[in-house]
Amino acid sequence: MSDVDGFSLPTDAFVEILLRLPTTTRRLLRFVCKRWRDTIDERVPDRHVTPKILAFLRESGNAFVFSGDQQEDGRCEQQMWKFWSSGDVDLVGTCNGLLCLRSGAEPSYVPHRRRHDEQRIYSAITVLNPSTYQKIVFTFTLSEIDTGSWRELPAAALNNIIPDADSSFHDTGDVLVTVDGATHWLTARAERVVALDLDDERVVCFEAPPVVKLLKVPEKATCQLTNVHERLGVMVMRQHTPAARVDLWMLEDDGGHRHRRWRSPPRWSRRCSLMEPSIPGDGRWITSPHFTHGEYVLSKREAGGATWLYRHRMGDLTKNDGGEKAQMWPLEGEELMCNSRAGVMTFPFVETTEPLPICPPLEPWEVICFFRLEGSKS
Amino acid sequence: MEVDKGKGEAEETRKVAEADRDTVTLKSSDGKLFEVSKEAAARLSTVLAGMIAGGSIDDNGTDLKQIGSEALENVVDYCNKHANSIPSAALISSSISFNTAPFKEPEEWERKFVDRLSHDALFDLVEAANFLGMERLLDVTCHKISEMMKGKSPDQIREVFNIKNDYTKEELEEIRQELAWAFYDD
Repeated sequence: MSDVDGFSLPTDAFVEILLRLPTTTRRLLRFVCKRWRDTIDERVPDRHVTPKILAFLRESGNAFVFSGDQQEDGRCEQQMWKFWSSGDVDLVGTCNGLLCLRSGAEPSYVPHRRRHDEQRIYSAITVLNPSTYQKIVFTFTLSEIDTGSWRELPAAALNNIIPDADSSFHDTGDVLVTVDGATHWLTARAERVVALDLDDERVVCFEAPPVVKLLKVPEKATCQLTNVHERLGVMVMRQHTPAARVDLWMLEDDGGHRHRRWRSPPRWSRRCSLMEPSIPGDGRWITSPHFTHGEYVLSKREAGGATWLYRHRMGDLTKNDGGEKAQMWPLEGEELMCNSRAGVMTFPFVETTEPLPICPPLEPWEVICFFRLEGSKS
Repeated sequence: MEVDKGKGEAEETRKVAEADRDTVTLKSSDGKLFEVSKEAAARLSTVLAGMIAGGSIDDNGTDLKQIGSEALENVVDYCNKHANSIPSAALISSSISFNTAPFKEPEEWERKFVDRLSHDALFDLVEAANFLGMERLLDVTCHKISEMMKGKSPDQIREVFNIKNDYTKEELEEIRQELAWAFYDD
């Protein structure tokens, strides 16, 4: 079995090897040659990877990862990692299997910080500058070059496109959603979505779902951007007695590049509605900033300083069934976790074994670190 | 491992004897014969297990036209070594059924077994294991190859496996662009 090409495996056998490699490695292998790229795209696309659920408790600085499989007692297997001894830590995001944490304090535990020694391309993570908290966005990119870099978005770029009255962030605008190569946030009255293209730093602005205007947000409802299967969504939340209602709107995908999409008016469609009995201070709520975690939608309940986390299987919400998606009443689901600390954020998470970048020098106002979860720390 | 074809024997008596034999004879694409323990073959290969159970084993050597003699020798060698080692219970269960149990690290002898193989021999063995439904051998061989890929740049991988880069500079840049915003989350 010799060949001019040294790699003479039949496709089926090659696929067996690919299936045993982490997604991150598979992505790099697409660079090797066209045959490899085509095989990876056709046979082991990224959709095959089922993300785990990662819950981060701000108050205690602990991260929990739940695997999808249930144990014999019906509970999900979970692993715990401790990052900070004190509170005041945000998990900014997960990307490429890494956790990006932000804190005003020095980390008490910094596992496995390694030199960035291979060709790796990381997605960008965008954070608000907490000292000014308006208009300014920093993006932080880990590229194949071994230094990360901060970029401050010029305020002028934003002033030109957003009317003054609407120029600040929406109340719940601490949720920045990065999908499709752009970071999005809602304007003050939640009438528009601002999108910062992380590639060329162009800023565009487009209409939020029409329902937002009708409801006179934020008086009667709250809005929040969310990530639905890596597409942009808006949650519109309304309190009615005796129930709270959440409508999920999703930006239609026209299949084109984002620049092209932004030239035409955005098309929003309502994908599902969730109901929950409204008991003041004790209802369940959708977790942020991701609406979907694989097939699941997560909800949380916080009462008396404790946190409960539930999951409910919803399937693929990107499939449009004419807005007739089943309404859920109440927002039920199996219990994933009960913890005595509050402030839970949830992310989909895919483990990786790739090397970590070194933390670049950062602004004095905060510490940003990238972590990989390795081995159980519980 | 190779045995001569017993041509002079009386077929009838041979058939009776075969039924009680604890080995099966396999024939490579180039006509060489190999003998392997029936128990190990049935335990390690779903395809051979099916053939044994279904009575489609040829006493004069079951034809495996897709597998060359070098690869078949390695397959048989692996089966015999496996029969002699004392595998853990978990290992047995994962090699019998097509389940999605996490891959167990190769044992020391398995590591040595694949380490001594040339690239070509290793690739042929992956193919043979895939064809014969030998989940464990497939795991061990694929693990070895995936280890050769991990932590390497595309350039290094091309060098290791002697692969020609058929991309133009522009095409590579295009993939880089695609990858730049690829999240692994959802």
